[in-house]
Amino acid sequence: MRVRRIVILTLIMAVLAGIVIYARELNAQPSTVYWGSKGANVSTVQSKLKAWGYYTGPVDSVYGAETFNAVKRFQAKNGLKADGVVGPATWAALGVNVGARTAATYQPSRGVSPRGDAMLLSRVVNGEAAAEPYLGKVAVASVILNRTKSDKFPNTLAGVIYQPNAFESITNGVANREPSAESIKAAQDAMNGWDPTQGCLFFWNPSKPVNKWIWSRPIITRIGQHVFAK
Amino acid sequence: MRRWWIIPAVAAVLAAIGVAYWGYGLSGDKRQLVTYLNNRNQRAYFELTDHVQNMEVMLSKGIVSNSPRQRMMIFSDIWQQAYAAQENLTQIPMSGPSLTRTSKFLSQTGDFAWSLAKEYSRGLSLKSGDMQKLNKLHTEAGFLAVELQKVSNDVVRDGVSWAEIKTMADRNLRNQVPASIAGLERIERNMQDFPTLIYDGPFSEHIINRTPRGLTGSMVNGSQAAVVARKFAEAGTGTAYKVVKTEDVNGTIPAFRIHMTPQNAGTPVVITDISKKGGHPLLMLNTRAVNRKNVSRERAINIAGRFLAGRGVMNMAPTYVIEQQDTGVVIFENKQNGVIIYPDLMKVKVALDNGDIIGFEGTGYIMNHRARKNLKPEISEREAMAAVNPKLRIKSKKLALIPLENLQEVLVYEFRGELNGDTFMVYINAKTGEEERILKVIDTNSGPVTM
Repeated sequence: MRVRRIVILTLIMAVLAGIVIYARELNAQPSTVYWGSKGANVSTVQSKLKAWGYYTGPVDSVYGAETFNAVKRFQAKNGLKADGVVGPATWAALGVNVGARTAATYQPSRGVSPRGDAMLLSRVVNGEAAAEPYLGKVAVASVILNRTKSDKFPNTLAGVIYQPNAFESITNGVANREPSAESIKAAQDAMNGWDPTQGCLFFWNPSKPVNKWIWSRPIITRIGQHVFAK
Repeated sequence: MRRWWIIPAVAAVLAAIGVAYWGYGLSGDKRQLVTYLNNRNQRAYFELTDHVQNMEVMLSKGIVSNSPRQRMMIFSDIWQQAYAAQENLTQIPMSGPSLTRTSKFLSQTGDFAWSLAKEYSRGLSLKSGDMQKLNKLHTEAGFLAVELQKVSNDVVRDGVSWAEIKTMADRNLRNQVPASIAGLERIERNMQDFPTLIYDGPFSEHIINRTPRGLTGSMVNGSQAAVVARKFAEAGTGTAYKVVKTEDVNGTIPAFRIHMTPQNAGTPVVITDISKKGGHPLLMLNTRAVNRKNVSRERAINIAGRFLAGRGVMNMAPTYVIEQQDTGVVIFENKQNGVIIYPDLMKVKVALDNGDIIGFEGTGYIMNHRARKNLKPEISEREAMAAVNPKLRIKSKKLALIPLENLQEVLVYEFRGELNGDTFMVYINAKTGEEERILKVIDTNSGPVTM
């Protein structure tokens, strides 16, 4: 019994899906057809013109000389340019729905959000400062954001984060882990403008070996295990 | 019985063959990956060289051209080439931030060219000294182009791949630096001599090294700062705090960082930065967790406003709210003679569970705040409105002071309106009637975002 119900349901779904797809097909704007075209659009033109007496040949979905002449006659009668090409204007005159997609209307914005940035940022924060106090997490996020505004670094968040050898957690893949709720919060605070580093561009753990050059930078503050420098 | 070793021997040989086959496959995979990486790096490098060469050519064309329209096109093109070059440069796998000067040169050149293009679009022409800067930039770009070419020749000659450079740099094998790395480092050292560049753009030296303008008052010591911090945190939460640690922050605004906890508990920690000059709160963060939302957006705005007034910060008007994870960040702007001063902003973070103030950010205010003169518009609101696209359905309008990229401030009329279902803010210069800027307001789950 159960199996039968599932089968019936599936069938109904399939039919419904078919109807939806078919309806979409009907609404879709037909493409331009001309001498040499083949397919459903051509047979639509042929059957329309046949019904109105412009076309006497078979509805064979092949755009040949007969169809061409019929279209030209139809166009001349309807005040269109008699070029034998069925474009948007001719389709409209034939009474076929010309889809709204071609019309130059403005669509209000959808789906622009800084959410993706926040996620990417919080992953690196998680990778670089998982064991740090909350302030240290906000500070690491701030350094990354400050880099995007600096002339010494790439201009985009992804550019800064994926710069070769810029962040250890990106190089070794730790940053791909799911970020903790605290890391997400810290990233959001930094994006909202909380910057405990006052514009720092570098941070490092002084107990680990680092590039000697980096010690020449003026150190602004120390939070948890990290020092922050301009 | 006599040949007992045959079976183990065969098994060992088979195992050896298996391992060899597996290893061969691995090394093949690795070779393929290295080549792939190498090709990407090679591409970035050659594109960088190309873009710098184009920059050099375009700079010389900009110098020789005598037509404002042509120059506008050339300068926009330099900007684009410099931007692309910088993009490629930052993809080259060096160890650590060792190409920062070259990057800075590219950013500044592009930025400077863009600022010149904008001048031309406003109908202005080159200022005295601009030509000299262009000449200097052209020389530098020429040097860079030649040096990059040399390095790529070295790479071809040495046969060192970029992937190898990366691993070498990682191992920090300073005694056998490959020619290409040495070349890039040589370029970087020479870029050091490049003079500072001051112009109307965000990367100009005078903007990077700007000083706070709202830092008033006399110096305070650590214990005075601790009192300020404690009062500040207590006013927002109604909890009594004790100071657990005081640190120094040696940034643009030297400050004391005061760590506090409630009188009778070890958590949550509240951190407050108090400026050494004047004892102004710069930043506060309460690290406590926030429970389910219980406070409306309107009430949060009220609470935040009362908090600022209670701390003696007057003339602040809330402009918008960012709602995230049961907290609300209310943005306040300074108001002078009825004009919204956008650069002088403060942010107050409200916990939406019980209305505690759990965050504060006031560096924007301290960096920019001062009494503004010339807040009188020279054209009427009606005249300004005539400059707005007539299709925009205007919902509200007000006078405001906005910062440009070069930190200059302009008095504008702000028209907020709708077109085709989207909300825009159009800023019309209140002196010249020109359209200065357009912001698009996008509604997200966490409140409106402007872009």
